Amino acid sequence: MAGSPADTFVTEADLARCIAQSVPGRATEAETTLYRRYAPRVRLFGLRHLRDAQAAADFMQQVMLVTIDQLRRGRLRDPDKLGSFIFGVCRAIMLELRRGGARRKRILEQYQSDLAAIEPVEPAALDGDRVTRCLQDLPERERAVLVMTFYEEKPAHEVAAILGLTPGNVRVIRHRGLMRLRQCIAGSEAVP
Amino acid sequence: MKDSLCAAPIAFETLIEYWLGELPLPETERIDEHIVQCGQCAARLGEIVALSQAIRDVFRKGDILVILTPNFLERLISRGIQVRQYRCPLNGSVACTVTPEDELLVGRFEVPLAGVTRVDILSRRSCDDAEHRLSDIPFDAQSNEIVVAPSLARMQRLPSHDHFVRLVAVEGETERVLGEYTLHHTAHA
Repeated sequence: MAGSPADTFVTEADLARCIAQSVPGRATEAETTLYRRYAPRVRLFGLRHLRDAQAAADFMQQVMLVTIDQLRRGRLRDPDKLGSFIFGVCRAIMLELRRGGARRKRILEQYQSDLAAIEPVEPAALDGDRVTRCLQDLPERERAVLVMTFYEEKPAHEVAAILGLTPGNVRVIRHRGLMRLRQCIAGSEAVP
Repeated sequence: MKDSLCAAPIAFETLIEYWLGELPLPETERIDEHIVQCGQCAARLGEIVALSQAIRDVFRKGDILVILTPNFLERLISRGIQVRQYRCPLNGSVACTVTPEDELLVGRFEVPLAGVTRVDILSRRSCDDAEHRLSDIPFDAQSNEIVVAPSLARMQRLPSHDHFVRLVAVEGETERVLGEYTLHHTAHA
């Protein structure tokens, strides 16, 4: 029984070596595995700093393209440090994005078709009806704090200012509300 | 190749603080790096992102009742949300409705809140006569106003009716009425 492509590579260093030692563009399986493994993490990094889903998707694509380009060129000296290497690419691209750089445009034009066939990695959406029921079952104060926090993704001190509470109080209510919400959505425990 | 177990998992609460930009820069950078390198912690951060998106979606669809504040309401209006709002004077009444075009329906109840530490809302609709109580609602005492955004979806299904609302201050075992209001709701034709 054949394993999935991901099973072929025992370690991340194996992945990096395979891409570096192959004829550029021929290590399709390794590059696909690398993409599926790291793209969701890179997308989260992008979302955290860009706060825009489309911009984060573009960022993810750019980081993965540059990473694969660099690996093909043998620029990763220590294959055991693949994660650190990708983080370095994330930081460099983010910096470049903020400066409006041109290198990413060239790389995108050169390699975009290589990754076009890989299915985009999207996080699974939650069941909207279940979330609605669980939110409705929360105590009023917790529901209000969660909505005011996550509607615009505001930190505790800003929510505290509009509610006349202390930031510490908002954090406590937020934490309690999120824990109840997670439990309810997971269905493991009814909201008390 | 599977994600290996994280040797130093980041606490869920810390991930929330990271996501909301509450952490100092060095801590943010440490978690930035950890997230890119650790599939397990990235998956938990992904859960927070999904929860955040789901809460936004539910609120935008108007599927839940939420107590808001005047400041938050103003922010929504400034973002272009189509808000139908009714101001109810202290112990007064107001005629109201809701249309399919509305994105948010809001009742703003004028009420003296100085010195009040806990407010409950008691309400009854003439169409079903059931009494409801919302306990310990959030409020900004300085605003002297309680802002209620009912479930838009539910309101759009209700027939014409009167909605009786009483705001009470709860102090230990005793309750003190702060204000009583009537909303005369006409169903949209």
